[in-house]
Amino acid sequence: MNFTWSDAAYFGPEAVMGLTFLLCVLGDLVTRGRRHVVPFGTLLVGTAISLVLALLHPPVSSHAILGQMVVVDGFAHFFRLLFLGITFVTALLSWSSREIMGRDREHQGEFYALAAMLCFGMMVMAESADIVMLALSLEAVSITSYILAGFARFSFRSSEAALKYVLWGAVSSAVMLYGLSLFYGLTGATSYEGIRAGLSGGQGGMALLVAILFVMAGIGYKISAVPFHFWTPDVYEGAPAPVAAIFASGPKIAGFALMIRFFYVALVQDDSQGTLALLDDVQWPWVLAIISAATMTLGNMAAIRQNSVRRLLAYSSIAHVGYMLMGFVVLSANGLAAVLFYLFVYAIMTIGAFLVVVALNNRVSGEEIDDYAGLGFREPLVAAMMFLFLISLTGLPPTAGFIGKFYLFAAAGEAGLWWLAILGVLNSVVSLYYYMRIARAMYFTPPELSGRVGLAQAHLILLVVLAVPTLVLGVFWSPLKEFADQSLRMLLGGG
Amino acid sequence: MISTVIWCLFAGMTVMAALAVATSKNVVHCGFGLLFSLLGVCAMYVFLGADFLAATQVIVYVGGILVLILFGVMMTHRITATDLKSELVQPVAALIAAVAILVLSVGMILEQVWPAKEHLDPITPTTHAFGVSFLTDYLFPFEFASVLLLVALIGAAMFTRDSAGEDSDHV
Amino acid sequence: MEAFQQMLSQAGWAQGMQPWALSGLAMLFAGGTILGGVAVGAMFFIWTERKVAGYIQSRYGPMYVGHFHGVLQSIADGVKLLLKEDIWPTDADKFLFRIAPLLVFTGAFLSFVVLPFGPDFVGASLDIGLFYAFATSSLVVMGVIAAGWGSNNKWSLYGAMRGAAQVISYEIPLGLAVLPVVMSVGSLNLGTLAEAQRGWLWSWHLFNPIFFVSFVIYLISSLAEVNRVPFDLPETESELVSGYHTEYTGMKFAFFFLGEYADMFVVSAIAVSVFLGGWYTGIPAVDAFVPAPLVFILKSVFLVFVQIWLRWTLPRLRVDQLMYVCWKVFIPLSLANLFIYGLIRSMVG
Repeated sequence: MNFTWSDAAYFGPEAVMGLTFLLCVLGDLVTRGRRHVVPFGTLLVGTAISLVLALLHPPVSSHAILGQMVVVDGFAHFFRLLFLGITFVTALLSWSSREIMGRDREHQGEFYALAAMLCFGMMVMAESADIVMLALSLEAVSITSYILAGFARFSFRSSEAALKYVLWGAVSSAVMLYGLSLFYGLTGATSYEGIRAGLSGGQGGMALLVAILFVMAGIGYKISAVPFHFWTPDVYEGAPAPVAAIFASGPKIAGFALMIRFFYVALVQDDSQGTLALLDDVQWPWVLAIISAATMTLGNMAAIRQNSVRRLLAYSSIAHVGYMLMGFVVLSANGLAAVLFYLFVYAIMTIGAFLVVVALNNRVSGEEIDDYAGLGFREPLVAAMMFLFLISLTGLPPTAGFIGKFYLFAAAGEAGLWWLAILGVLNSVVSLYYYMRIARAMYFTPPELSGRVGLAQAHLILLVVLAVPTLVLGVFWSPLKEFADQSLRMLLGGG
Repeated sequence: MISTVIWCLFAGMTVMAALAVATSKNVVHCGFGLLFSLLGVCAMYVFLGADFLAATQVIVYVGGILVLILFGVMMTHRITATDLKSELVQPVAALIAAVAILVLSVGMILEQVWPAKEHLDPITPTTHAFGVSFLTDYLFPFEFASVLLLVALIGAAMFTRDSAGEDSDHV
Repeated sequence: MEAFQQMLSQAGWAQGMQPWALSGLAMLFAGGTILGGVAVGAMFFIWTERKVAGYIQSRYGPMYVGHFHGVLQSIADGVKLLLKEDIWPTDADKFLFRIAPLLVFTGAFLSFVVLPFGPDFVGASLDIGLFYAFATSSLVVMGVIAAGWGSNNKWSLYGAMRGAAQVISYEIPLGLAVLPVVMSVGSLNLGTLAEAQRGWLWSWHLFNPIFFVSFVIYLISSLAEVNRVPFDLPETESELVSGYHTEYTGMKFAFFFLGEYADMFVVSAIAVSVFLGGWYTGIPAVDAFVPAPLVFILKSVFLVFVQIWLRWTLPRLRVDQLMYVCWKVFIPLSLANLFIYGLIRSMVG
């Protein structure tokens, strides 16, 4: 199948984001890097146009376009809306962040260009239908992330973060590429469909196990699953906080999207009853179930010991990956829908929590938990929002996090993975302890200084904007759940 | 017969050079080990009938990347004085991982029957086919890769430029 | 190589041999022929260089050895270099110091395989000939770096860094410049490229305006590619003594020297086969009886002569000027050239 121009119609939002990236670069170049509002504005306008395009033309069926390299379907639609939203919000929160826009900073224009590219890359990640595109899009997102991680290039921590990220990324990409080459060697195909067709012949065996493990190493690094998570705390701590907010949401979610499409298209088949079944000899769920259990347990255990808010959030994000993997391994539409639902909610609450870190950056004495002491008295609104995000991260009602976790545990239980579900619940209890340490510091420790902290207006508004869905989705969750179910229908139903 | 002998020579060179890269304590020697390893891989491509790929391997990896690596090494202050450290961190975990990967890989090589061609065709021109697929089926990956390289370029410029601002006017 | 194999299989003494031994022998013969050609050719160029330099500077150059204008001077020099002491600098990196001249010479030597001296007078008529020739120059870069680092001498190192930077930079306009021609002919095979210029003089690619721009870019970039004046910054005797081969003596030095002149011939021969009509004289009637290799070699030698001529005429550029010319003039220019040619092609069809 060749490339045709009619394909491009389905690719509008992505094309707009790609163009936005180029325009941001160009705009920054034309204004000689002095008027940061130009790339910033370009990014906002581009994201908005892309969002409108995506909303106006939701895909009604699955289209394999651009030479069968990418597939635009409901699943891709779900993620593209999510990524565009994330990009829009993080762009806004970066604009008033001192770490990005401060007077001593440089390359502010490039930041927005890179954000646009990151969004473009993530959208393609969610749509890849060929291992060539899988590798390329993953690499695009990774390389953009490395640059963003080292954005504050005169900061020792930021450079260290970038370096660690690059080293981890390079190794896991190499391992993943080897795994992908094994898939090609086994099936002679690069498209997911082709791989599935090739594997149904029964060439399983050791090579397939190695291939799956190696590909998991690449994806696992992207979503920071144990044991590929080591970079996460250092990068989240070293990179500027808005960048950490992006990392905790965007690329991680894109990693999940990529993983779901790859595993569920290439390695799973529908049997006649409409349920999902494994190909013969392709037993991957047990591997991932172990990874899931290890990830949530390790993430939570490590989070307990942290004193830095950022490292705590980093480990908690690792733990959340473990919860979400639970929904991934159960091989059912319900499980996947739960993952999608949770990803959406997770993006909101994680960005929210990091937004608090961004807002308080340089305005309180540091980023240790103790530095947030008495915040409840000095900045009641911010503290209340943080508290809300924290209980949502823990998974307590009446927040969206509770609904998300409920679906995940229910899906695991339904599939008979009771041990995993119980482990998840236990882990949530553990997580309550360390999330509440922050809450305790905010409300039960007297502040060292009194008076308001003085925050950027934009951050306060954004906090409220993010808090609303966290609460609302905790009560009226069915529209989102339906949207997630519907998005999966085309992926799994073959429609 | 004779091509088998030559193949073995190149294969041996690739592996030995790769070993040298991994074990040498001198960074520059590692670089040159990589040179021979990459050339060996290039020879493997020739044996597989991928002529264009072989030449690209040399141009991109030897002529570009390796030269840049050595540049980086040579420009680094007192690079010769630094010994490459290879400390043992978590030897037990590393050993387990290494042995597991070794067992899996060797097992895979021994056990797996690959659905591959029995006989390779002699070297056939591949350039034309490459060009056509780059501009038809693989147009999107091709263009996407160029955007990816642009990002990398921007990143490299960002990290290495002295300081933006005043002196950016008269460049 | 096939030709050699055929000749061998017809020769009486090789009748009883195994096919593998036969092909092995053919490989050795083909390689040996090229090696001999390279060595003799390079010696001839060294002599030419000295004579041309002499005339340009109003002096004679070598006059005595060989009785006729010192034609055997290079051989005498060769013998001298053979007999010279092989000096190893203290603390030289033994391994790199040793392989550097080999890499440089091998890189130059390998390109000869694809040069089309005539319709069926080519070492290996590779489909990717042009690309292959560019690839082999990467080995030369590595040799230069090895020499610079291995010598443990700061002049050598500076020379090597300059050389490598220059070569990898100028490889880009060099490659981009020939692309319009490759697009027009639809092949990377040097023989096919030359074949496309059969006929009268104006069918040479040189006389197409777009290709003419390519030719100019190619010619200038190729000077940088082989480190010749005005781009001989890696050697700059006034600042760096002799650049990356400062510390080399005897045969190792001779290899660098041979490699450099072999390289000069290679870039010229590529220019001849891509732009200057290959083995065609430009007059179809003459082509019938003039041996193709002779035409090809004469044309290439003329281009080598141009390089020598430039060396003794032009001053040297500064490093920043060198980089400026490459990245800000040649690369945009060759890209624009390529783009315009593509546009014309797609419109004319």
